[in-house]
Amino acid sequence: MADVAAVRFESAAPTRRRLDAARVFLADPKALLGGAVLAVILVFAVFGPLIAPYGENELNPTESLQDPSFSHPFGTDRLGRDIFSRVVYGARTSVLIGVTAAGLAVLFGVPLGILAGYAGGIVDDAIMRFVDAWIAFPNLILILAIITIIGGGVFNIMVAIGLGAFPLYARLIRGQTLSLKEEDYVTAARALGASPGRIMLRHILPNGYQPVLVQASLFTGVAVLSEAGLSFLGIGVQPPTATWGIIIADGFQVIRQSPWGALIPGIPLVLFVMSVNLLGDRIRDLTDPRLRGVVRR
Amino acid sequence: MHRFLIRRVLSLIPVLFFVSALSFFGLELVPVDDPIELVLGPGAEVGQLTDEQYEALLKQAGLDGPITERYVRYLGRLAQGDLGRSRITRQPVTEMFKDRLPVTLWLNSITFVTNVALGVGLGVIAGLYHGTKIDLIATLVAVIGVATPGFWVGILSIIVFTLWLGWLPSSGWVDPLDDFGNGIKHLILPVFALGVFGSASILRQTRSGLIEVLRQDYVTTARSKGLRESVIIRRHMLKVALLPVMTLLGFQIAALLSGSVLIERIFGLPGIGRMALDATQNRDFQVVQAVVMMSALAIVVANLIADMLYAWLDPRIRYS
Amino acid sequence: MVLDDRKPSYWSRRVSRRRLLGGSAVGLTGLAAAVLVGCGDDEDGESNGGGTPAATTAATSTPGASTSAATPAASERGGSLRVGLATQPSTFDSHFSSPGTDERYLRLVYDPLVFIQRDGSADFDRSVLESFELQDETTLVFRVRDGIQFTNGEVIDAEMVKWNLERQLDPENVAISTQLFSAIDTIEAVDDGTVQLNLSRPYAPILSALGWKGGMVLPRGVVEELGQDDYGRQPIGSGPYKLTSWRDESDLQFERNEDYWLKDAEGRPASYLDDISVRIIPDQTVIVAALQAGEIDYIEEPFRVFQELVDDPNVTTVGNPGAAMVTVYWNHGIAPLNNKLFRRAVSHAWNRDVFNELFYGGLNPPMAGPVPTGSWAYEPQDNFPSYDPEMAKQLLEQSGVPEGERKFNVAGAARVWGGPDAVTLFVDDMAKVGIEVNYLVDRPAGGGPARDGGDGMWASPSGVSLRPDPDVNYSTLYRANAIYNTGYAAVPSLDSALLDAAAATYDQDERKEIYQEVNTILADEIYSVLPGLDRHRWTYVRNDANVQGIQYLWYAPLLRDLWMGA
Repeated sequence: MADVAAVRFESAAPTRRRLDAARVFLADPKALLGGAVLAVILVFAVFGPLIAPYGENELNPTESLQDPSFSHPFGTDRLGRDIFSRVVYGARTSVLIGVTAAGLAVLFGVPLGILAGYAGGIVDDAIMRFVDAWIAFPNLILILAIITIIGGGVFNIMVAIGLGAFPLYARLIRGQTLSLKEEDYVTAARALGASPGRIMLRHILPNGYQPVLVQASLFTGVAVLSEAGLSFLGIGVQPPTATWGIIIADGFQVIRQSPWGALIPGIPLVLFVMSVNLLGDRIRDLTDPRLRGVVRR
Repeated sequence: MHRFLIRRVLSLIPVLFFVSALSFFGLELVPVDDPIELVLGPGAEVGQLTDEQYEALLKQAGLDGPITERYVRYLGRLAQGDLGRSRITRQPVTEMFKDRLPVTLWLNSITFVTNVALGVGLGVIAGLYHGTKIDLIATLVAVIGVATPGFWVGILSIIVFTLWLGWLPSSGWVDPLDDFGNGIKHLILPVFALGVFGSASILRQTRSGLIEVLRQDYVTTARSKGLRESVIIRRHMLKVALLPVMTLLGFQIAALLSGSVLIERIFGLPGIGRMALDATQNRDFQVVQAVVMMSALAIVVANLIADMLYAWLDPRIRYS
Repeated sequence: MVLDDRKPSYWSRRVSRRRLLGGSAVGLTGLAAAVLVGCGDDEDGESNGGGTPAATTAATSTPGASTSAATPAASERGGSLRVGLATQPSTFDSHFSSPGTDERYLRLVYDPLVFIQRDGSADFDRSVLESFELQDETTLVFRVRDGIQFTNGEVIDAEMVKWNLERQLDPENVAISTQLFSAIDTIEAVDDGTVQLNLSRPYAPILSALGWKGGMVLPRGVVEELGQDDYGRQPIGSGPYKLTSWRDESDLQFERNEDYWLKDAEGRPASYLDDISVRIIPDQTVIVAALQAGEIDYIEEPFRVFQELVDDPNVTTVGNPGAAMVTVYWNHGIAPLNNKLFRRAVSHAWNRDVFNELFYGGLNPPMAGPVPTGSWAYEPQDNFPSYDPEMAKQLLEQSGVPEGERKFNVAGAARVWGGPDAVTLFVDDMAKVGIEVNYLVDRPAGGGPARDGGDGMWASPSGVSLRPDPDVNYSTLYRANAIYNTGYAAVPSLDSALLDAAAATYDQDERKEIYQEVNTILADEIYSVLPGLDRHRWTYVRNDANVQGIQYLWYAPLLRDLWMGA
């Protein structure tokens, strides 16, 4: 069965494991599909301006609300802008926001988590109760509140989404820290007089980051969904910037005259999240400690 | 069990402290030129007020005094059920809650029940037929469902069921207690849109939970004892498979509340989610603060209940 | 079922609905009128439920018709009208209500001191004050009608009227009509039935002021007992209907006031409906669907849904032209907006026709004057700068504003603009002549403009509604300290003395002449606001409800005088 095969691979030496991991990784058809789709979307995101036939905000009022045609594969919106081009440009903004938000969540959560795990005692308790409280706020409502405070705009959206999500990473890294801090090399470092900061940075973090990385990658999908929802609600990214959520929102306004704007951007959105999920699931399966042997390094 | 309960409730206290403190301090952090704007709104006619009026307004909103004192008074007001007033309509927020809560409750509870029913049901089936075509389809549906934004599903369903087919209303709110049939008709599409994500994720969890269980020893033991398959399913596996769902009850409800903001907006339902959204856009600070506080409270309580259920269910399946 | 009849434009593939642009707008008022007539005839004869469509009633398509013309026959009394509106009242404390949308609610519950009609004339048969005498230019004497009671029994007498007015003169309270009433020096209750207003200067708009929100009569006892905030949610009035329930953001219920003092020909209260229920539905798609599905009978919605509903055989469309204008408030005190040629260039650069086509379906024609067209003071001005991008570029050169400084900020758009896309279009128009507009989406729109030009707020897309008296529109926009004059910038070539003179004479023709002078100056200078489109408002009613008596009072239709025909 596949599990046995994975276990066999894991018990090999580290460097060989990485190479084999790549093969195993790609050998799974779901992961392969996910990887392919994600690659396509990333290509659009990176090379968007070269691919898009029209500008992101190229108004053309005489061609308002047209059906898909040869010159406009996805039709046009109310201002006559080419929806296909806007979706392509939207890829870069949406993906950028998703990735950055995930990064920020890690940035906020990891220091807190390591601190809590390493310090232990009342510091740990306090931080964890704080994190519990943070989790208690429903995500979108929390983000709305954060935006009420810090205002909208692209950067603030990323911060808000990231802030909403940091608890998971705090908890993950704390869990890792708790088990890692009993390891021999940590005890040794402490005996040699290394400062707690150095220990956390040099020893614990490099060894404990994997689950965080996995979860953060998975989170990119969620973050892009959050951003889409927020821009659909008219919060955050300024028009005329195109994000998938904004194109959907514009389309929703004129839905009775033309459904394309509301309909189309959902597809790359779903594809993006799905491929991120498939890949992330695969990575998680591979790095799941339950499938490994006892040997960690 | 009692000790467990007491311990859990006690551990809630610091969490509740942080929840209330965060809600309180959130308001403190809003950047305004003058605290009176928190009451009257941005660009308020500050110059037109006398000093006494100014002080009186601040006092009324609890904005005077040092910060710790204000926090304590905030707690006091909460205990009395005073959630402040909307700066736009001047209506007490508690009243706004009373009006809006039933809408969100109807939407969320129907969605929750269908999510659990569908998710567990399909998840069990997928798990039992693990590896077959049925499992493949179910998993595919679940994978797509988890990746699809609820608001887009809502829009899609409006396009199909309202604009194209004309079967269902694209929205508005009719209280089922006033007109049950019509009320439910108006909830069908919103529930569908809101529930896609939840049922898909419950499906996945139930399925993987069940698959795990199928491998465990005690099922083999139960099988070897000669128990019929359906009995095995019912007594042992279902409980274990349900556990992951149970532990994530809080998350489910949080996801429902968050999703409600979008769904209520699209379908024109005057619920709490809509209230939060309008308040954010109108910079109606006290309302935002109240919604944040109350929803967190609801989640904390939900988690407590989930823990209770978990503890209750857990001892009974200990075979190994 | 009704649902089958509902065929939204796109889905029935009616190409005629999708208008391509070319040339300038057709004479749209004519088109709209033609469409109205068209609505009345059901070509396929399949109207659900029958009954005479309301469009045939004289009062509907022409504003300003005397309101006392239309009344129901005895057999047509009664019925429950289900209304759908996008916004709920901000408060029922009329003196402190600021949104224009509140009026339709307030007029259900309250009576005004003077019932002012759209053409500016007063109908004392329907007013709380039954007669008016101009003793001299600054002394007005009114007789209070005998026997009017609030639904809680409190009586309207001279003291009550006095309290109502004085409440708004109090500098501590910031009432909506404070400026209008600023001409009042003192109020005397000469006896139980007589009120005397002593003005500090002659002021013609005072009558209109008494017909507007500030002139609504509130019961002192209840207001003082409950306090302003709580009273605003539980009003007591003397008007045709009373508020019986209000679920926030959901619905309001009104019932006939059986003790209403104003009677019809048979001596019964002049509230023709048994009850009115108002559902609050902010979303346009939702509210249109509800109307078409027969869940509600009456909605008011702007242009954007006109195309859905104008074809609907079950719905009659009634128009209220000139109720407002779609504009951009701007701060003519900051550079470069303080440069007249720059302002004229902006006006020349704005393609209002395309704006009209794309966002208002061609139904809100461009304006050429500084107040809404429904006002009797409006006249289209020849010297108003209309679309001409070449001229705009020339003016920019002549203005002396260096290329790098041809820019300004614009705030987020008010609802009336139809969303951020509309501002994007405006920004694009400006870009075409080399003006850079920085669109700050998150900044709240004007209406309550940002005062300090120092934080960079230059312009704000919003609207201006028609007020009961042109003096209100002009004063709130064009005086140096006007509430809608962003930045409180001076209006040098507009002599405030002109506005004062226009208000000081009680002769409407004289006033109109003075306003023409003012209009010419404003069309040249374009202070305070950049007029955009003439905003028509529309009412849509179901034929099977047979709603009659739709009349427009300035901004809003009157719900109070509706009835449902047989």
